Amino acid sequence: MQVRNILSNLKPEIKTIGDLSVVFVKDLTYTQKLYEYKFDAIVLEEPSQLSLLRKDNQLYLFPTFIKSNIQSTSDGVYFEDNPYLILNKVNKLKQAISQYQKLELPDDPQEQIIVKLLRYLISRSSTLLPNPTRKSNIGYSYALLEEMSIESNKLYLIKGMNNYVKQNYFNSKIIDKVNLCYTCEGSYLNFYESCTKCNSVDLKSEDLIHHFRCAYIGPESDYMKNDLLECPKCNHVLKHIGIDYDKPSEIHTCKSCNNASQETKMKAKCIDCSKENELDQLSTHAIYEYVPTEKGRQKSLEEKVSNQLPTIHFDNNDAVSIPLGAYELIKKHEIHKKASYTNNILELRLNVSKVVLDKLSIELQKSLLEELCSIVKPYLKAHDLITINLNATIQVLLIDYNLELSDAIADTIEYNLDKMIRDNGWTDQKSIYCEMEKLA
Amino acid sequence: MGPIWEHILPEYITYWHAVGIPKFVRIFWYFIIFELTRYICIDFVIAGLFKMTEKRRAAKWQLARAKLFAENPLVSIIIPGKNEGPHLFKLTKSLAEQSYKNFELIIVDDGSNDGTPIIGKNFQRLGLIHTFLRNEMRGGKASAANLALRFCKGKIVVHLDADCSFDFDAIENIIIPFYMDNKIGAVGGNVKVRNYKDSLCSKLQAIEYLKTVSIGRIVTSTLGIYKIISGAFGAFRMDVIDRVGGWDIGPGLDGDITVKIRKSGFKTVFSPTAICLTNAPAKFKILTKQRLRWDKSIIRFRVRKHKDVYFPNQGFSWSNFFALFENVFYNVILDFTWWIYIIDMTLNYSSNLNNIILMNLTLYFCVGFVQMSSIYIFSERRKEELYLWKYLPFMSVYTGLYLRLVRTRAYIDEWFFKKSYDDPWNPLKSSTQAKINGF
Ligand SMILES: [Zn+2]
Ligand SMILES: [Zn+2]
Ligand SMILES: [Zn+2]
Repeated sequence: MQVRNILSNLKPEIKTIGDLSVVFVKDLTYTQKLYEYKFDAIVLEEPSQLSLLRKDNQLYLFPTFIKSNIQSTSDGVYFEDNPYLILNKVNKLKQAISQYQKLELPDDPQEQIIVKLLRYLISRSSTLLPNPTRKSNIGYSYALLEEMSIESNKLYLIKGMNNYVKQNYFNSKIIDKVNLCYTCEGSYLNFYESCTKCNSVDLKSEDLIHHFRCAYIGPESDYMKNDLLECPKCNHVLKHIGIDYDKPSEIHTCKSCNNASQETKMKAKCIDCSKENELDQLSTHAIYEYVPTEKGRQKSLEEKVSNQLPTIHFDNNDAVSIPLGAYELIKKHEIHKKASYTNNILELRLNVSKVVLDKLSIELQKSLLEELCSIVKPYLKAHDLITINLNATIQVLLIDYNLELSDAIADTIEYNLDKMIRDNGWTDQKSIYCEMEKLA
Repeated sequence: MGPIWEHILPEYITYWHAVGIPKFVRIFWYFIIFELTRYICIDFVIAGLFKMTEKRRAAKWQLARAKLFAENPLVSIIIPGKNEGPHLFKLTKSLAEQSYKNFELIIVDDGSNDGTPIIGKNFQRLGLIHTFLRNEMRGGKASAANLALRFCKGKIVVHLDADCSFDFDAIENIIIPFYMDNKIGAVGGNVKVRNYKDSLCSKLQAIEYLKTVSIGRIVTSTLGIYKIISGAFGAFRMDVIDRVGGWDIGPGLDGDITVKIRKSGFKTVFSPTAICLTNAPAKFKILTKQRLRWDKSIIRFRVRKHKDVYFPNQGFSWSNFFALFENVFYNVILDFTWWIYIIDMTLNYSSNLNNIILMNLTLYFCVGFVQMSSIYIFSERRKEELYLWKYLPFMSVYTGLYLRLVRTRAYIDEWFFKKSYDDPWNPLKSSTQAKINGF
């Protein structure tokens, strides 16, 4: 039974609907074979498969339909009893994506995603919209972008998108702002007022009442007497707000420490990690809609520039830290031309201990890693490269080193980083783990 | 040489040579009966007594001071006001220098429409003030002070004006009297004019404050009839002020609360060494406005609201009777008597008015110097105050004429038209209610 299932999965079912051939896919994991067939559209049995589809560089642009009527990034719903409904849409999309058919994607993984995203959005005359969802820690998700990317941290994705806005591939329109927990970047926060003195939430808030004729001022409860408001100072019954009394402000009495105050401390408790954030600890992020620009459209049509390195300016004698994508690209390139070096090409990976990282918010982790990079640089040669990968590891590409020298450098770097972290008091155990791999 | 030396002066001298004592008394009855007795006789007798008992009082004072510091009670300093934000920083600085340290500072912003709420909240965050309260709608000084009262945790409440500054031992000296006698319910501070160099107007007020506020209050306090605790600087026992229900609607609520405290059986005293400096109006126009308000309140509160003290009833007390009567007598009654005097002179001595006016000025001038010397005996700021002596000649006109005219105007306005209820010093809503209820 099991085996037959897998086998049936392997063999895609192709139907002809009108003049189109449509492939029905149960599980994309086993469907490498799809590339061998010709079809015009895909129908996914499982909407969750969309994420695999978007990551696939050959399939991501195909008109794709799902069988259930749920919100998704698909092009629509396929109804068994009325299959012809999709025809119109498929034909339109076929035309729209034809311009991209001959174009290859760039090698750099990050470039790849942006070009895929642009092509997709432009072919669908659509924009990248944030969807409000409880499933996302920040309260919003960019479903399409998340399906295409292997990165799952939503703030990184947003940061990346904002970078592309700076480069004019997109225009951004602000949709909302979210406040996130200081420790875990969660947006599921409970806002509450607490006592300024003892932080208790057991507050009694009342209006203050000012009785004009005798200038008495006190909380409403002072005046309560037999369902009437009666002044405790002059025993007159309060009848008419604005004429004989008014309510100039509020007063909060703490039931646990008895402190009376006009102010309360607003706090935001994170449901996910229980952190009680002060309001100014929350980090605020804007959530945008991204609209491809004309420059973005040109980018989507760019021919693949093969084997050409991104230009990096080495303007001082230090090694350079560069984005992960560029690093991987150059690494490949350097391994390729290893013949021109007498010595080895090595990769040094520096891992910061989890004990330290767990103490820091994502933002702080990033700045720590950046600071560590700047400490590492002076030990390197000018053409060496540094990057920070997604697992919070610093990768250093050592080009043309003999093993003796590279070991010495690795030891020095490890010692110094470890000392720096310990001196800062983040831990008293070993804080840096160092691995070396000989690449060529 | 002007006509004064050639003509008027010689005539003036011969005229007074010819007038005998009986006629002198007849012409200057007003001065002799009222001014001379009050300012010279009473003041000097009391000043003498005060000096004589100095040693005993000093010992008692030291004992009370020791008791105070042994107990070290929390003192709540309250400052109600509108748009006082700009003064707050200086004020907190001045208070930080105090020799008595165990106090909390409570600011009430009574519907300010400037940056006061921002300044106040910031200062609270910085810990410069302990509690910052705000009424979005202005309720008047009394309700603002009552709101502050609600938040006070101290045993003693000190009421201040935001634009005042204080001698380093002012707070200590205003609360020591509470430890001398447990029937004391309230203590008034000694308010002096800080900006006496600004203008003639402020100089004259500085002299006036020295005379009436400093000396006048030592005298009334010694006599047990001290009745105005200045709103700029006064201290109250928390339980006592609670018992009288806090402040009632002003203007003139300083005097009002003092009377209420006295009526409830407590003593009110003056502490000459609790010194507070305040800015007096530098222009006569503003001064006139301020005095009109103060003088109207005498009619409204001393004559109308608290008229029961004049009648023998349940809570009658001679000292309360005299406290108010002295006040009403020296202000209201004497003011009208003065007009009678003026009429008397114009009707009966119209041919000699020149000489009479000149003589009056001379008399007041001399009395002014004599009085100033009694102030000199008491003051702790003698040197600085010497500066004021040269302006004494103006005082005859200032107190003898200007203040009288203002007072007369105020009394008529209030007596016949209840003008104080139209004073924008209180919000309209409060004044309306006060008027309806006859406060
Ligand atoms: Zn959290
Ligand atoms: Zn509390
Ligand atoms: Zn009332």
